[in-house]
Amino acid sequence: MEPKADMPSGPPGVPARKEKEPVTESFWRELLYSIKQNRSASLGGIGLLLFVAAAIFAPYISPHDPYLVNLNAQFHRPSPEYPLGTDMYGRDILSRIIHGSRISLVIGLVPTAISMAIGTILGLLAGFYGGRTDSAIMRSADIVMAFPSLLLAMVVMYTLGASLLNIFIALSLVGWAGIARVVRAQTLSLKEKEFIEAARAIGVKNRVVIARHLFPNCVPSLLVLFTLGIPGAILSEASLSFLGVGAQPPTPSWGLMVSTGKEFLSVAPWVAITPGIAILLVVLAFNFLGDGLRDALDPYMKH
Amino acid sequence: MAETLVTSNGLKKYFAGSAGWFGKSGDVVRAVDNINIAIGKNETLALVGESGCGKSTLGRLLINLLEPTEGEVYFKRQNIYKLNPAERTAFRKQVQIIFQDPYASLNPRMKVRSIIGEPLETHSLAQGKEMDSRVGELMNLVGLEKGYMTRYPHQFSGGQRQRIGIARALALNPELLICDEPVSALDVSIQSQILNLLKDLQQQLGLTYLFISHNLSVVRYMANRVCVMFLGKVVELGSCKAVFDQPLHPYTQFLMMAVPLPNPKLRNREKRILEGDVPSPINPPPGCRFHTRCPYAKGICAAEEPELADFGGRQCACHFPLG
Repeated sequence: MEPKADMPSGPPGVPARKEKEPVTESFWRELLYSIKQNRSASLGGIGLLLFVAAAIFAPYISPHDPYLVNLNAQFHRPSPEYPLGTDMYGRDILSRIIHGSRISLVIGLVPTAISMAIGTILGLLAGFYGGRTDSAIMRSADIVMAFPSLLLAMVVMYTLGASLLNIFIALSLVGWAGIARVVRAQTLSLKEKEFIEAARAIGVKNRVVIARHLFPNCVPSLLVLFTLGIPGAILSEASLSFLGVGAQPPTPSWGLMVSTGKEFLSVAPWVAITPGIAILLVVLAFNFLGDGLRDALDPYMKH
Repeated sequence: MAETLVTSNGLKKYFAGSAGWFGKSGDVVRAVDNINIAIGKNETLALVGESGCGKSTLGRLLINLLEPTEGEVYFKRQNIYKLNPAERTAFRKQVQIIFQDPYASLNPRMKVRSIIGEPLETHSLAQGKEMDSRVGELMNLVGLEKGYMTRYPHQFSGGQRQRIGIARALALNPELLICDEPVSALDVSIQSQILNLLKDLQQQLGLTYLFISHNLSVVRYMANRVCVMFLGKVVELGSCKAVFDQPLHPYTQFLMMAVPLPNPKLRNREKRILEGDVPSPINPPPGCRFHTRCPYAKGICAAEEPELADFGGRQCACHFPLG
């Protein structure tokens, strides 16, 4: 009893409209459109692009060598030669900030991506399977969340030693729990939808249901979490470096620059303030964009 | 009823409420309580009853989307809860379900092609070009333009989405289709289209339907036999004509009287509305579960639960059947 293919297409009442081009990637296009409509989100996006460009092209756009010590040029005020002045070793602060954006970008992206990956997988498993899997995963998440995150990161840094790789580990260990919670909640609500039941009625395997039906529907919220997670990671790195357990001198890390500059706040305030402003601007840009994304995606989540 | 396709045997599904903090056992909802029904090949059995009486639960039990607390279901003489993995895969191809809400039953992030093609892919029935052409056939079958294959569900109307859901259910050439209120979320004008489509498909493909609905006019149009449920139990089962024209169970009678009539001249018929609320399925009343609302109830109704008994080709569970 093979269905017949020669049935007339389109029954009465359903006009068979012909359209030139079926819209396929409407999701990303609409997303871009609503970001453009939102002033603060577009500002954030532009700031973000500048930040990424600075990080990528750092050696080409920075006027001086960020590591070059010049004891004849200590504590220069901002001037045409040194647009943001120099620090106690006579190093050009603008160049150091531009190079520091590389560290901040990597620190923002890598640990966030790692904790997103861990949190998403664990959240999906906890939400989908429930029962003991759920309890085990979510209780571990609760334990992680019970610690002040910066304190936990500091403990990790102290035990493992200060290095870039260890910052990744420390921030990922702290970050996954919040992601897992959100993803689990989303999975629980999606699981009740009938399309999941339809997949089960078809006989789709569990892992395919998770990968094909649950995960793609979590992507909009993950996008928001990702954009809002990056500034958190950047701030954490800055805090750790400020406290001396993050990046080590002479690395041009923004947090470290603020930390060393604070000694000279009365003589040369620009040494500490300018990298502080850089942190502020980048974090603001990410937050603006993240908020815009959330506003843009909310109607999607309602469907 | 020619050949039997599905039979249920003492089917029960109890949902346990969450257990209390101090080991108190939670309340148990008896959604489906001891149901024996049989669906014949190529027939449409309608399942009617008010919200929360266990219709959908029963439908899901019959295709093993839910595990029963007790009882068996036989599909072509095979116990569907005791299948080995290979048999289970084969069983999945023979039964499918159409859902009530066309907005929740399609994955919003998948294109129509992948939605309708998923069953084919899962059972390795078609790939690539072959899958495209099969999906196209299915779309034609349910009255959708083939060219819409690359669209997302949100680009369709409710009726079109329901057609996509039907195409997906038909992709595996099933024999039994559970229709869980397939039209109650649609406009009246679209409802008739979908109902006629389902009827045509039944004739063309020799399908068997379990048609779950609370819309009695729809049931009368679609069904061969009707099964009336009340609080997890079958109270009456019989041919569509018999149940509609001469209900035996008082509950059925009240259901029929509640159907709105389009003809105003007939509206002065005797009309009584059922008083009170449905008793809680957590603590169903003793004896006949309907006795608290039944105008004909006598002493025995509260004491003894009536069995489903034969009345000339139909069944009814009542101490004092009407007619």
